[in-house]
Amino acid sequence: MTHRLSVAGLRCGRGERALFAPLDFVADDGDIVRISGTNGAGKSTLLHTLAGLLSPISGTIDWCPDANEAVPSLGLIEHQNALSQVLSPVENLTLLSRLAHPASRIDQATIVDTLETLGLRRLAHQPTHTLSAGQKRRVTLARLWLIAPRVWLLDEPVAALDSAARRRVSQRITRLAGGGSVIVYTTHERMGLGDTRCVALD
Amino acid sequence: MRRVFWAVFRRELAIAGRQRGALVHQLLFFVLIVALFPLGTNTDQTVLIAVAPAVLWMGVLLSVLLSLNGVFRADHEDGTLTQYLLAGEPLAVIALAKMIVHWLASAALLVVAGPVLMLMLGVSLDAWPAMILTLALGTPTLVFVGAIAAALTLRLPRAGLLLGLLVLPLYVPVLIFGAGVVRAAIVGLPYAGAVYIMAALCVLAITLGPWAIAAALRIGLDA
Repeated sequence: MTHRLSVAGLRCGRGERALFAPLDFVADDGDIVRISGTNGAGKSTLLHTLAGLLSPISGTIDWCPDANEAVPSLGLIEHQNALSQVLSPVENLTLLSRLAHPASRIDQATIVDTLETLGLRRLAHQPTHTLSAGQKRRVTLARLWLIAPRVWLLDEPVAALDSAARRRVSQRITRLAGGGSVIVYTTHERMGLGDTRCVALD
Repeated sequence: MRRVFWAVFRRELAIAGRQRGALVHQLLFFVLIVALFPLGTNTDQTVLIAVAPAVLWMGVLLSVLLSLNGVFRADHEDGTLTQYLLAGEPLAVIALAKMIVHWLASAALLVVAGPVLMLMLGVSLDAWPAMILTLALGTPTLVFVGAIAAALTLRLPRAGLLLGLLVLPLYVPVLIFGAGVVRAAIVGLPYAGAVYIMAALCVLAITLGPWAIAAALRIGLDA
């Protein structure tokens, strides 16, 4: 049986030096994969390598593509929020969702509704630089509701979030996995996700 | 592909519209370079007219260079660039949209300001068409060529000086033809040939530049 993602003997790092021992794991549709490791263990580098932004030092990464080509294969939420400070949350999310789904129309009303579920209705049209760190994080996490890729790579998704928002994001991630998405995430917080696989970096 | 192009185009235009201060700074920089020059030389009309094309074009070169320093920096720092790299569409399309807006928002002002400053230096109105034409053809070339180097030096801290060292030698053809055409127009010589060469350079930069910018951005991130 082919897996959605299979990683064999993967070593990655920036430059020549590998950050962790060779890694082997697989993930199938609906899996929630937690990547754990200390600060500097290479969690973000691993996510970047899985996303294809960095080339691995050695080893292989095999993605099984989706039969439906309209489904974007991959979404990545990094430490940086990918929000322009001078634009409003709605403007920022319009671009981000258009990049992921060029063909579909994600209109402004949908984006505002999503922001409302995250408690940001009032700030939807304010410049992003007026938002607090946690609010900015919530804006960028609104992508979890707007974009539906086959695989989500999440780097510390709930950093800076309060407990209510954290719970809502955890529920959303569980629902996405229930719908067949693969979730690969890193966290130092308690998120209460039913991890189906764990990968430790050392 | 077109949808992504317009989405990036609108986003960049909105950002440029909200950072109008930066545009004014660039224009003032250009005006100051040209306005200070006569103070450093004697104000003899013949001397000024002889050097006016060179002064104007050097001003344009330096203003464009300054504006390019930050062209990808904000996107890189806030993580938008990573999302561009992951988008299913060619990165060159995104680069093209970004650079067109960058030209509209910064260099287009120089095309308007250049001829006005030329009058200030005492050059006759006869040379106006040549000045406007060469600026309109030359500034896109400068923007697209310079952006390749800006993309390459993106990951380096304080790359401003290095960017100048990389880019200014590449600007030599535009400087030679641009200033040459204006000089020819001032003394009444035909200049069509040089304008055609500038047009060719401009087309080349706009069509091939985005691909080179995209490649440079990818190289910069995988390091």
